[in-house]
Amino acid sequence: MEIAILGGCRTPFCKAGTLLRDIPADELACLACREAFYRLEIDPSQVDETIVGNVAQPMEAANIARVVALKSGVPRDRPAMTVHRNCASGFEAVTTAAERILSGQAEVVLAAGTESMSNIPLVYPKPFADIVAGIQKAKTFSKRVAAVWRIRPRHFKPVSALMSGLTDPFSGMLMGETAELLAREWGISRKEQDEFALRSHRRALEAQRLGKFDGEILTVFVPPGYGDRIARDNGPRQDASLEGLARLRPFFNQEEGTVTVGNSCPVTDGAVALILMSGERARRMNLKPLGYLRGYAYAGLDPERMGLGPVYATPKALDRAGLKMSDIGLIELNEAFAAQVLANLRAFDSRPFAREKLGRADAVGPLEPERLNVNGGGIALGHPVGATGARLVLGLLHEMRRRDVAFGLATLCVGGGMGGALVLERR
Amino acid sequence: MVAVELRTDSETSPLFEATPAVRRTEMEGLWLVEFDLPGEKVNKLTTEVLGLLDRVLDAAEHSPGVRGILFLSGKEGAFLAGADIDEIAAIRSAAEGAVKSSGGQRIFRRLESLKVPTLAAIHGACLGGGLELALACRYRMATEHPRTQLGLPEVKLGIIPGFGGTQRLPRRIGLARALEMILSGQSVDGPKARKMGLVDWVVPPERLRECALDRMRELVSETSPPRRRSARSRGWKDRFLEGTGLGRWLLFRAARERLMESGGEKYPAPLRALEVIRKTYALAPGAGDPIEAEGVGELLCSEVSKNLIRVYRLSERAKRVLGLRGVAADPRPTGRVGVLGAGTMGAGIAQVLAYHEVPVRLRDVDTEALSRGLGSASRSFQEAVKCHKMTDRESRRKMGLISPSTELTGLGLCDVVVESVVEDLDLKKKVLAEAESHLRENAVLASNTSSLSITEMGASLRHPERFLGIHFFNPPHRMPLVEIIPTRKTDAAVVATAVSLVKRLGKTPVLVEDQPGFLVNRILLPYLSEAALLLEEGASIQEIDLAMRDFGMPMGPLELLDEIGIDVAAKVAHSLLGRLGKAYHSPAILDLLQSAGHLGRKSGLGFYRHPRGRGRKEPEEEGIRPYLQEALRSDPMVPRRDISAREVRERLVFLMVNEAMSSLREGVVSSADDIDLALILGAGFPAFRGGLLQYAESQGAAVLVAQLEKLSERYGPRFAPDGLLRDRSCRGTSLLA
Repeated sequence: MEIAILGGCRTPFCKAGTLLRDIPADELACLACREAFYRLEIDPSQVDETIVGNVAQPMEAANIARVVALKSGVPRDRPAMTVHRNCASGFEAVTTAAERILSGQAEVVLAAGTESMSNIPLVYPKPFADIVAGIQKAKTFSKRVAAVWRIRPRHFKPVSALMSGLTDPFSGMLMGETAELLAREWGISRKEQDEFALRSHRRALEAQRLGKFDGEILTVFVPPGYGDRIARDNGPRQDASLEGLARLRPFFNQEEGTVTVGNSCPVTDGAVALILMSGERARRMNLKPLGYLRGYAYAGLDPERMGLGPVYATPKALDRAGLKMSDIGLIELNEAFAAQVLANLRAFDSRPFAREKLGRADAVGPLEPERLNVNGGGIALGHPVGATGARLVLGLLHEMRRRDVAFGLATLCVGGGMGGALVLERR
Repeated sequence: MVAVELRTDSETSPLFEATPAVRRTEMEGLWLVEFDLPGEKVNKLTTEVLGLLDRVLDAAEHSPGVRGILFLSGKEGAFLAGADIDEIAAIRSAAEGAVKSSGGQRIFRRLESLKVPTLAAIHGACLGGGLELALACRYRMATEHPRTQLGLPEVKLGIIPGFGGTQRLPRRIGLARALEMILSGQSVDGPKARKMGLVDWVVPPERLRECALDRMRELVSETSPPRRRSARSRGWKDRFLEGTGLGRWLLFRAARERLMESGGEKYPAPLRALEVIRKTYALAPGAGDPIEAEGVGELLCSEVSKNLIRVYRLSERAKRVLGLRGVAADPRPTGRVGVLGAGTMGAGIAQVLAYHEVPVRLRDVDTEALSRGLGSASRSFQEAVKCHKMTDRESRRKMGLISPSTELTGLGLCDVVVESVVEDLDLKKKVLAEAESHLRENAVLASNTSSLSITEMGASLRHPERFLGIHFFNPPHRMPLVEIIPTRKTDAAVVATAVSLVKRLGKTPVLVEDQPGFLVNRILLPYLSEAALLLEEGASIQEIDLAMRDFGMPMGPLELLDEIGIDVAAKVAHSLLGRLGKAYHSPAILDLLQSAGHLGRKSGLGFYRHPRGRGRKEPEEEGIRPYLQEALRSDPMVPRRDISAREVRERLVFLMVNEAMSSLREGVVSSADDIDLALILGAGFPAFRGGLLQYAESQGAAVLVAQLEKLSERYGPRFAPDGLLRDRSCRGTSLLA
């Protein structure tokens, strides 16, 4: 059966703490979903199920997918679920939707990804929470005083849920530290990383200048005054330069590290909505889908080297799609860290790596710059973790249409040691 | 269980046999008395029902076995909606009214003095006589459902509660709160009623009967004492205000001042209610009843009460309007609406739609306009949050229902698309044509124009049969009237759809023919321009506005011009007055003020000086004098100083009456009733006058014709009495027919 991706749209991606900071994740997703319905002229009542990828799962919107579906006008009798595969949550929304359609459980699925990294809370340490619970439970005045007495100044030092989320729970390494490890193991210099980061900004700016994102981005009118409007991503920097990037201090390993905030993706807010349906339904409704999902795969690897996820997932996905790397006309490989992308570039093209790690006789195939991230990537545009996967799909399909390319690959690395890859097709 | 049916002898048809208006059943010594008026959706306290109730009480007094009485409603979602309006309207004399009132008082006193516990179990409307019955019971239980509303709305009909409401409510919930409820006629829901001590228990609607029975069993059992929720605790302030003579004096004085500020002597009912409560509050129970009855009787046959009852009936009837005259058609869905143009009206309409849970696609070519539109919609929601009409969360969610766009995408998802761009025929035609190409087959296309021809706009459409005018008034979230303007080609189903949308928004639709200015503006504009001419002639701003406020208008015509915007008014005056085909002309003063940049409230200066922030506006008598002199050069008015308030009123009101008769003659609306209701809801015409034509009728057609002829001799043919008015005057038939 064919999985048609009808199209979709997204909010601009804005660095956390900037323009979108007061809009919670569910409202961001609603903006994208409603606009997708209007632009594609698909009535929300057609939707059989809603699946939303989200990592930080806000406490005021438990099962955020259900909140988004209801607020976006999807009828109340259609189920909704939230999916979480870390950085691949946006992919997961798409592939879970595809599985629903393949298994005949749904014909039309609203698949979205959303993240408001501005709204990830600070939390109190557990000992303090225990004391507060004790105070609430205390029945007598003296017990209450005794409980209050146990509070210490250190209890007021909040824990950043964001930093905890960016720490690999198995190895204890920060995501940036896994990138440092790849840089060391694959011999990637600071300069190479900075050059790659600069390329990302330049390409993103050029794409903005040509209005390439206009078709996928909606204008956000910022509440409560609605006077501020955001119509483009605010990550790409006009003033980015090699000298400027070179001046930044390494963030994760200050002595001999190479990974800086300049050659990593920024913490970002944003949401993407896609509408998927069975190819047969699209034909019946006389619709022209933007593209089709031809095959996909997820793969696991060392959590310490999570950045190499794409090279593990891609050959699996290509095999399932019945295609070779040389069939692929365009590639979107998420830029979590420049070091991680560059490590993938080498691994994709390495025969020894393929033999040793992937159990394949030949290298996966080269990732030439002219078909890789042609409109920039996460370093410039940002990486709202739950939304990025869906953005890769949406942006790739639009670019495939512009270049009239038949096959495209969207792939990303996943915190915790995984990779995901989607093979898309245009007809 | 023994069922005993009660009915009067006159009821012999089988229908009445099956469902008596008051049903009594017995259960474990408890009497369940159920109200269920045959053939009606709600229960009313008709004379017959009161008689039946009296017989139940009679029986109860003589049955030693009865241990308690529980009052219930057999209707879905309504307890007792009050007395029967038709019966009230039929009362001819004060004495008759007083007798009716004291009859009810006697029955409720009887109920109150029963030796056994009584409980009213309330779900749905419990208003007027219904609440008075509940107050006469020893206990009250209400459901938490929002449909449950308890109140004494009599003052809205120009009368006061007549079955002991003015006596029992203040004693039950305290003087201050009772005055608030009785003088405003506002009702409260179950939870609020419990907070103020009006009801003793609040329960979920599904369990009302069960809970009421449980509570009755407890109440009648000797082992467990009744657990009444203690009525609200009284603070020291309440104790002072209600418990001391000085406090009460202060309380009554403050209440009176508030009434004098709002409607004053024009609405005698609240003043009378206050008077009755003031005189009777300190008396022994029952001693105040005759004073209450006397008040009811006198008010009942007053002009104001007759007028308010007329208006009430008109608005009830308007709720039942379905669509095009005589043609029954099923409305199409109105689940999603497109609004084209995010100006004041477009944004306002979008806000009203979102408020009522309708998703909106709001389109404007200008992102700046979208920003302003969304901002103003958001402010309207914030207002609602501030007055606790909704939570912040709700307002955010509803705001999210408005999806702004500069593109025409998404119109294909809309059931109705309303155009509200600038009043420019060519632009509107272009926008409508663009929109039409995106619409789905069954969608309705509408224009919110206030002054252009709907027929002309529809002419260039591919499907004029799905096009009509839906005219909201400014500001849409406040104004309760919407004019619906079908053309000759409009489908009946399209009209029905527009009507159902308007009703969904909680507004009153009135069907109007496509004539210049439709109905309200056509009548209002000559009035406004005449006011400007009066000013040019020498009357002062204050004299003119005060004369009309004294007549009962919520604001004077010049104040209203400032609110509308003098530029907008001048534009409409030019385009509309000419088309009305009389000798109207747009007063020069409007153009002069406009070109001087005096646009009214929005520019801070018009006929009044509007201070920024709070402060009161001041009439700009001196400031506009030069413009007035200038205006006299083009307008043929002879300046004079002796214009009386009476002349102001007659010229302004009679001109409206005359124009109303013209529109009636031309068939703009189908009845005088429509005109009266539309002007009350759309132009603020005072309800206590019963409507424009009701007022005209009270003056007499002959008097009007004579006065208009005199005015027309002196001021020109714009006052020439309309043919229909002359005709009615000659034949001596009613203007309301």
